[in-house]
Amino acid sequence: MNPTSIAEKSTEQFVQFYYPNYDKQRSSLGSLYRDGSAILWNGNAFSGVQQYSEFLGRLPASQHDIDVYDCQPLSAMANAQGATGILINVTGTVKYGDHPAKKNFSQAFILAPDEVQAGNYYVQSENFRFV
Amino acid sequence: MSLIQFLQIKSKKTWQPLDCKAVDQQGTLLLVVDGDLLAASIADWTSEEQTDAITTDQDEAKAKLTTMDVLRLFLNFGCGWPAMMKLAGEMFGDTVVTLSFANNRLLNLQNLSFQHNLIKSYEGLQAISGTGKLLNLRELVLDDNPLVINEIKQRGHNRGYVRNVVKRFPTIVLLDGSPIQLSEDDVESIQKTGKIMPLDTRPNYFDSDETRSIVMNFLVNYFRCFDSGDRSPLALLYHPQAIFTITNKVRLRAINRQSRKTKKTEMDDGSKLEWNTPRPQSQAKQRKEKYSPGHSLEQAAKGIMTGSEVIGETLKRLPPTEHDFSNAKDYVLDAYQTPAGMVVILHGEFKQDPSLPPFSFDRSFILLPTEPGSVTASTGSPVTIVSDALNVRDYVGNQGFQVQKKYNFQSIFMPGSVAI
Repeated sequence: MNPTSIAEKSTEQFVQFYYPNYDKQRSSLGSLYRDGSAILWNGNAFSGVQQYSEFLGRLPASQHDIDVYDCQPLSAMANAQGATGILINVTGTVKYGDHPAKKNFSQAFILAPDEVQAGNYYVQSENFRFV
Repeated sequence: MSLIQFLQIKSKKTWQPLDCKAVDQQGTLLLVVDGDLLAASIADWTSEEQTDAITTDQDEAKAKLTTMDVLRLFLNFGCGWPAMMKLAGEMFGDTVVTLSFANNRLLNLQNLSFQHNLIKSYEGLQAISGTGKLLNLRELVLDDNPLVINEIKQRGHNRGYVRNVVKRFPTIVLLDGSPIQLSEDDVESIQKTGKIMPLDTRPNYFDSDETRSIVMNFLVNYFRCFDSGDRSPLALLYHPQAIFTITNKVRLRAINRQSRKTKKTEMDDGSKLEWNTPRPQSQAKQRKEKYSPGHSLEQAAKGIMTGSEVIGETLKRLPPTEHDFSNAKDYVLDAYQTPAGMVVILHGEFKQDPSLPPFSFDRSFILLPTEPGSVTASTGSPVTIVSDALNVRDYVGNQGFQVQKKYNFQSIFMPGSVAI
């Protein structure tokens, strides 16, 4: 499989894991991040996964609806096995708590290939904005 | 000394005499004011039977207006600027008053004071405390109302009062001049309602000043060319193995609909693309994604283009654009270094045709330092594009990413009170 197809397959798996868990079981997202992961949420930078997890705990229950997602392989970020990084852009709408208002959001991820487990990725950076 | 001068000295506040003239022999006066709370106050001085025509609109000068009509008029002028409203108790007396906020023009209201009124219960505030109303309210004063006096007298403390108010006005940071302080449990239960976020939206993010200056320069040059009508120079900014993808969720506009049939046949002869035109089959995948059972994504026309030449050709075929960066509020930008390169994420709007509504868009670039001797080096650009992802969608405006002023918010009714 060429890098593009691999990226597309992995992206589909990632998106199908990330958003349902964000909505129903936010605690399981922790495994996606590493110590150096850079996370931005509406211009707020988190100094680590710990701080981000605390924030996720305070964020009201969510319900995401994905409109479009897109991915590109990143050859500048490849591991020893030749697996590349992936740039993912997602846009959609999200509702919080009991509030009926749907907010538009756009989220960009950079996934890095796991050094050890082939086919696995972690979130190297992530940027969420209401748009 | 004139009467006006005498009155100005004697009164405790600064004021200007009104623009006032007699319009007929019966003593009808026309008072022209700026549409501020003067109109409402003046209405109060006159009884409703002998209401003078007080309006900010000269055409309506003949109409007889009640106090409520004047207030409604005033409220409708509130759109567009952060308005201050201080409703004096004398205005309403004992009458139960219904305020209609149906037009929701008070979106920008940040400070509101009902100090020294006759509000007896929270129901009295129902008209303005519902979902979607007063979204930017930051300061509320309810001091000196029977409601507050009773709440605090009953319990001996104000915690219940504060909690009840914040539940109804979750965006406020100052209540009766003091910063809101709630217990962890209260904060949690309010956030469960989803009306406020645990963090406010912040402006453009850059991980360093250097990032900011590099990225601003890059974007100004890139979009100057992108909007110029000749996009061919842009190809030189892309790495030989750069990747460009374009996605959209755009409703077909009426203009496109008519010529769609002809567009399809013209597709492969190198003519213009529309934002929602599917890419040629050889280069694109058109798919209906199933995100979850029963929910399918809009058909996203997707193409992945590799290499500066192919990208350059595609850019040339995209519709004309105009990005007006002078309206800074219409764009939000984040840029930071990653192991993949410098990530630049821009959200905003552009116009394809000055007479048509704009589109909203999201653009992600990844930039690497330009290699000496490369094609990009010949342009003088310090950065080379290795990734470019564009998403175009129907226009939604800039409300989503506006920064909320929570930090160092000052009370305007009680000077010296600051919320941090």
